[in-house]
Amino acid sequence: MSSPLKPIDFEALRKPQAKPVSSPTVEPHVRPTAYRPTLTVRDWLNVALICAVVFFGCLWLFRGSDGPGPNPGPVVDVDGLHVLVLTPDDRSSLTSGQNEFANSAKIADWVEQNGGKYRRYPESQDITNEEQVWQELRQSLSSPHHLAVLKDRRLTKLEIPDGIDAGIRLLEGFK
Amino acid sequence: MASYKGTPIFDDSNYRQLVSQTDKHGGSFGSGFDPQAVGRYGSACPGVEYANIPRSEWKDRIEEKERKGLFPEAWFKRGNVKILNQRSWGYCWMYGVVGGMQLRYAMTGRQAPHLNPFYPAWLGKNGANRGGWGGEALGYIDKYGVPLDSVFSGQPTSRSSFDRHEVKENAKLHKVWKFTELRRDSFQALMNMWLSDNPLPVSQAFNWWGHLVYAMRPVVIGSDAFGTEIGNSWDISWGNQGRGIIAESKASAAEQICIDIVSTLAA
Repeated sequence: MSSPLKPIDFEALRKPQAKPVSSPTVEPHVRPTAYRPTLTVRDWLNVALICAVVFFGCLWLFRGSDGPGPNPGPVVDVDGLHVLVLTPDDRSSLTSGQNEFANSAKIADWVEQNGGKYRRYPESQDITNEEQVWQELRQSLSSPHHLAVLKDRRLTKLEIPDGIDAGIRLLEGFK
Repeated sequence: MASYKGTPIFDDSNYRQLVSQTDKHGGSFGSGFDPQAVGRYGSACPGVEYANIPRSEWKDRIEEKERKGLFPEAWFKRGNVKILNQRSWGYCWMYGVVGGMQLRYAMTGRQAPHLNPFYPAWLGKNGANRGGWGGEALGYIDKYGVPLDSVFSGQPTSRSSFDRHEVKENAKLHKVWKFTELRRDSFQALMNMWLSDNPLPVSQAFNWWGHLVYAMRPVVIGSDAFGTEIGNSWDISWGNQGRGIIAESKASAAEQICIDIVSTLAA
């Protein structure tokens, strides 16, 4: 009686299965299914919308604010204290205290007594003949009602203070 | 003579001496006021009216603004404004306006430039020694500009002095970009401007004096008496270092023009 089990031919397993030479390679007409996204116009619009939201959101977050309160801005490569006051042509849009700050020679005196330089210009003034530092400070102010303070090459934009005393208190912080 | 902090006051009792001094110092402004003079040269706001400030409030408001350094005169000192000297030329109408320009430059925060008004006056009058008006002066300033005294000094009368390229280019840097005329013959209009939120230097042409100067602040000279402090163009030997006070009774000017915006100086 012979055994039903055949011995394993290990040699055969090691050899590669040889293909018949004449056997043609049949390429399927349809490739095996794989995930390949097909974006519609609507999808692209959504992507563009998201990009726009992110872009303008970043702009808003890192914008140069002219609002109240110190807001350190870009560095201007000039030493010393410089104070530029930019007034609106229509002075009625300033409070009485703001007008006093903008007009008072005492503010200019204070700045110079503390080793700084002072300028004040109305918004419609062309200052292209001025020193470069004043032009840069002017460009940093997107609207009047503000002053730009440059100290140790750090630019700060502030709303015009409501009064002379309040203004000097504010400037004391830049001494 | 009455005075205010060392500055002489001219009023009804002594104004005639100013008139006689005019002969000595030379020229007046033009005779016969031309009501179109200012408008013709492009006044931004001819006859502008500021909010009316009642006389009863003048004293307190003046003293408060004085204390806070809000009048142009506060900038006169710190800006080292030069008192001009027209000598024997009848160009007060130009010297007064340019004096106001110098003060307006000081009000930007920098040292005032020493300008020479003779240049635009002489060119405007084609060399003639004749009177004029503040509005006329502004027209010539717009046309020719005003050079620095360091570039064009003295009162030369040779055409070649005026034709120098350097002078012409320098003069173009100094102009008045905006001015406003106040109501004529009105001291109230002058006070309204000075007690507003934006006090400015103002040229004043006085018919009784035949002279034009610029005013830099109002002053309280009595319990209900006021005046205007002026800068003259008769050198510093006149008045108090070239400055004097015209009492209210004499301070209503036939022409009064505020120097609002001047061009910026070169760095």
